[in-house]
Amino acid sequence: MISLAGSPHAFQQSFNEASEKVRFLAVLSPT
Amino acid sequence: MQTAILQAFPQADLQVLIVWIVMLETDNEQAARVSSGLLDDPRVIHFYDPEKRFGKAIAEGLHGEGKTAWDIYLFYKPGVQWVETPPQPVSWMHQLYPSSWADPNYYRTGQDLVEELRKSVEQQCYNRACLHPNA
Repeated sequence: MISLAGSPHAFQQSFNEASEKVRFLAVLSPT
Repeated sequence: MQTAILQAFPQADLQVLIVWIVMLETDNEQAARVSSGLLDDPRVIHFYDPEKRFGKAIAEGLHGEGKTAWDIYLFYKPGVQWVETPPQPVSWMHQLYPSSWADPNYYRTGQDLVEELRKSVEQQCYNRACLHPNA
């Protein structure tokens, strides 16, 4: 599932909600 | 990434966040949806960044003010929070051309990148009971 439209709040929420875990972030071009 | 991390560590208790950023002329929402389908794993959450907001925030946090980070991979240890600015990653690597803003010491491609990704998972998960490698 994709959270759309540059949603910093949704991203921060997902990032912070998983703070008990190791988090891996990748920023990629889809093509 | 699918093979380097998700398949290599099928039970690693990681949260994987993928930001699909618009950098090339062919990048758009439809392409992001197609690419996200290639990383089908319950540990992965996908985001779409048409305005490069995340890319710029990540670059700024790595001393790349005014630049955009992409083709970049970052690990964050448990406990750190993203408040107004991104926290410092515990390890990271990129595929940007060495002469770019990003530190060339973290430049990796091909098999070197795969090995560095695997090494980072092992290091970060060591003694955290989240590492159950497939191999």
